[in-house]
Amino acid sequence: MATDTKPKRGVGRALLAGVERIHETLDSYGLVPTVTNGIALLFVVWTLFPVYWMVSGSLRTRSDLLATPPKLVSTALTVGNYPELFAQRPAFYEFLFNSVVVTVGSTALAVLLGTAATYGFVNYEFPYDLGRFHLPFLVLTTRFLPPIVTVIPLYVIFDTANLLNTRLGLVLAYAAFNIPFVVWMLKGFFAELPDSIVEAAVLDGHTELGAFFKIVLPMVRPGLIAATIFTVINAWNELLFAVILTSNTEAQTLPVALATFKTAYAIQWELLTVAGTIAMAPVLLFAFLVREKLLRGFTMGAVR
Amino acid sequence: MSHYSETVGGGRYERVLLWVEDHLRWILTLPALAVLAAFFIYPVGRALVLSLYQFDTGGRQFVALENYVAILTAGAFWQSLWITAKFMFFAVSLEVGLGIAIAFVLNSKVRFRGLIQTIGLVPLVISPTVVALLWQLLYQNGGVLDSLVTPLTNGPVPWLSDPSIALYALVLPDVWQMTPLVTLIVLAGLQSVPDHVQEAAMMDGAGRMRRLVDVTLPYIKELVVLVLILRVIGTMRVFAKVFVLTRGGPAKSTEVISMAMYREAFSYGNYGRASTMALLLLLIALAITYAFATVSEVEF
Amino acid sequence: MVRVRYDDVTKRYGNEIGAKNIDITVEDGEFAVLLGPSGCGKTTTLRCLAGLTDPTEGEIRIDGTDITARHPKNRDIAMVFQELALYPHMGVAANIGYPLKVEGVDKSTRRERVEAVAETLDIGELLDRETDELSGGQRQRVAIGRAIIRRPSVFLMDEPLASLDAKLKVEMRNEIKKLQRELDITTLYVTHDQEEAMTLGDKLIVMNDGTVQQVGTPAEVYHDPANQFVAGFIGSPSMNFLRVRRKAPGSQRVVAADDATFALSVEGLPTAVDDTDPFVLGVRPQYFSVHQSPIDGAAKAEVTVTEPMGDEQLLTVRFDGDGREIAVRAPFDVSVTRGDAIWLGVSGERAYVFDVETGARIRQTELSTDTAVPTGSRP
Repeated sequence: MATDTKPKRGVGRALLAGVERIHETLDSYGLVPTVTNGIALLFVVWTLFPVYWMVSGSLRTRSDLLATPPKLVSTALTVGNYPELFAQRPAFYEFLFNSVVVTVGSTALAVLLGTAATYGFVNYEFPYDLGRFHLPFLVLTTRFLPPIVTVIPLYVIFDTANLLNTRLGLVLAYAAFNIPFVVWMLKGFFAELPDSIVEAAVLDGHTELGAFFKIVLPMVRPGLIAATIFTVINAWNELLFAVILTSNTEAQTLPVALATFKTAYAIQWELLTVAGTIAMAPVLLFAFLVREKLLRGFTMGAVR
Repeated sequence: MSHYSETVGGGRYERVLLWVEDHLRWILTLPALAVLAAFFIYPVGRALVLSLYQFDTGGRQFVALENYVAILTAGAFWQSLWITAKFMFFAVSLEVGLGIAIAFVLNSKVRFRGLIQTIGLVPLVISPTVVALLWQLLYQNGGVLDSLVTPLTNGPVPWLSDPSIALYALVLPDVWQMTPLVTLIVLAGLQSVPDHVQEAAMMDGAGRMRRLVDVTLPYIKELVVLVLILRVIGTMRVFAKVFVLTRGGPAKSTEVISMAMYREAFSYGNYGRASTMALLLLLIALAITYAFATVSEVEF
Repeated sequence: MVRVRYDDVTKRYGNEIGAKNIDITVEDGEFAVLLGPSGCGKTTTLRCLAGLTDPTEGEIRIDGTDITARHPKNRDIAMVFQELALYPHMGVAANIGYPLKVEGVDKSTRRERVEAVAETLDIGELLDRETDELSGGQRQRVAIGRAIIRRPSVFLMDEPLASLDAKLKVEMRNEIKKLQRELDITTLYVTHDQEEAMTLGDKLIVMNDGTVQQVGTPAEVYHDPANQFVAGFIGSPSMNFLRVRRKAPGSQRVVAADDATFALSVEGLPTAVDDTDPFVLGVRPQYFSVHQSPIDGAAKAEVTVTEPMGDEQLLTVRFDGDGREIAVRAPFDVSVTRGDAIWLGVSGERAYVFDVETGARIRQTELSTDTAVPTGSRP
């Protein structure tokens, strides 16, 4: 990988020269577009096939899905697996419900607290450079902690605080882990706001708090939306905290249910594919709806 | 702005309002800081205490630094670090290498580029748990991957049950999921290279390769460092894929650090040892973060 | 009646001085201009009145009421910012009407008043536009509209014209002046542009290094500067400063302070500089008398640059043996070119004397200020 970043080294040079030679050869036969489009197609197939395989699996019978050699396209499709999953495992209603509650709750909390804190750090002065440097830095370093570091003591803490196996516990934990993320995404948006906008609002009769809600928040709306999108996806997908801090349907979320789906005998793939599809579908749909914002979010810092 | 001691009209509401104005910076920042303190600083402090105790069926007893000595001298901890490092190396090399290559391909005249970028988002938004399941299905005995490699291997491959293969079988889903991240970020960087810069270099007589090295690479260098950091940190935390696909097995061949800590705490109930490992991992994570922060000029 | 009074106001940022011992009064309906180079504390002074900056010491009163600790929203002050600070997510009408909305004025009244203000500012047809579709001058008007719609008791402007091009600047300047007269609102206006200050202000407050240097009418600060800073800052091209001394005690003839390279006679020098101690002689470029032949009491100089400007010309000249260049404004019919010699005379009434150390003005005795001199400070 280092060869790609340091082209001045010998290996990188040689690699680039090789690529260049291949390119020239292809060019002389007029094959460059064919090859690049071919690689792009390969990338698309490679990316989509596993997803296709699971979704189509959820619509097949067990024997059809697990046939050897695999049948890439099935003619005998059925939707029967869907009611079957909920019939055999009614707890899935609760897993779904828990996932929704935890995702919505933690996102609301993380975005609210994260936004307020970012604005505070960026726009106010704190003693000892706390606001300009130390506190934001502290917040951001937490983004680099492997979550396993805190989750083990957190288990002990939750045990004494009666938060184990509660949705509230997960909401708080996810909010905590997403606040640094929200701060990271919004920092730039707030830094770009001219001070005079808030000052104008205050002279127009607002309190500073009022100006924050009425003037500042509408102006950073793109950032808020992006932060919300990413927090929703993070919370919906999280496994580690959920698997450690919850123990039954009271609070377990979909990822926990999926990760512990195996039965004593064999995996019921025809049902697991249904469960997996149900877990994927909302984020995929959501991602499709906000794809522009999501792309920009993932590549933030790339263009700015 | 502060010290709005004077209230016009002097109403109670107005007084509260002005008190809020005076303390706004703390009102805005303290809730978030409190949550972060409760969920990061306090747990780390708690781990420090826990790491000094031995947990067994009889309860817990103070053992001072015994946990540290035991962990640092026994091979298991180092073994799981080594496994994590191997996973990190293979996953990050493939993701960054392939990701950059695909980004360059997509940056040339490719049809449906926008659509392909959207498709690149698909793996990124799927839960790692589901990603693991997607691949478990592909790894089924006699399944899709087996039928792909059959001409080479003369039969099914024990993807997840052979200790010499299992770790690579874990790398693959991670590569599948995260390569598009590298591609999307680098592609965005490539597209931000202004045409006129390319043209100017062309006027200066720079060939394709010269232009690549002198014009394009400087534009994306910072981004490559950024994705490198993101992926090193990401692979260091890998948990869901291991948990679903192998639980650290077979024969502990895929027991990455987070899996080892999970087992220590929740299979053996030894929170003391698990906390000790957590603190050691924290040190390693801080060292890596610090190293990146000093080496690169990327703003976090 | 709205009278603004700063009572010994000081603002420190840590150890840095933002503004120091500000002691000024702006009368009801007066147009006061805070003028000075960047970093002189004029904006800090303005922001203290708005409540956007907290004074470290001192009090600010409006009509005798101490408002120093009052929230900006309760001060009944409106302000136009240098960046204009239009709300980008609102249209033109919403921007102008926003202060009324915050105040809770109902929609139809709001619309009426927005239309009335827009009419005054000649932007009636822009009300339905977005702010990013407007030109610089139009945005300017919207910002002013938002500030005046509430009929504030004090109107503040912080370099509002800084981002406009020269022609638009003059146009908006006249408009602001007219508007202020019509509305009769006590106004404080910050600028670093002396031409803007001279044309707009009833009263100029010249600042430097965080302190007030002089308060006076445009004519006063121009013709009767309190110190060397004000004398040099006001007027374009700037006043020339020569370091000189009397040739002998009591003599009317001055020579260069260090090496006596030039000599010219100046009548009516203050008695405070009777001895041969050095002092600074300030002469505006247009107050030299220019001769093309030797004349008694005039100093010989060599022309190095000529810049014809129609009716007159600007000469850069150098006294014999003296390296420093000075600017001289001469009638167009003085026919000189580079290298020619000219003789410069100075009238005592048109020369100012400053202390070498402090820059303080050293006055004769009672100097008459009613000398009718054209205010043509324009280049």
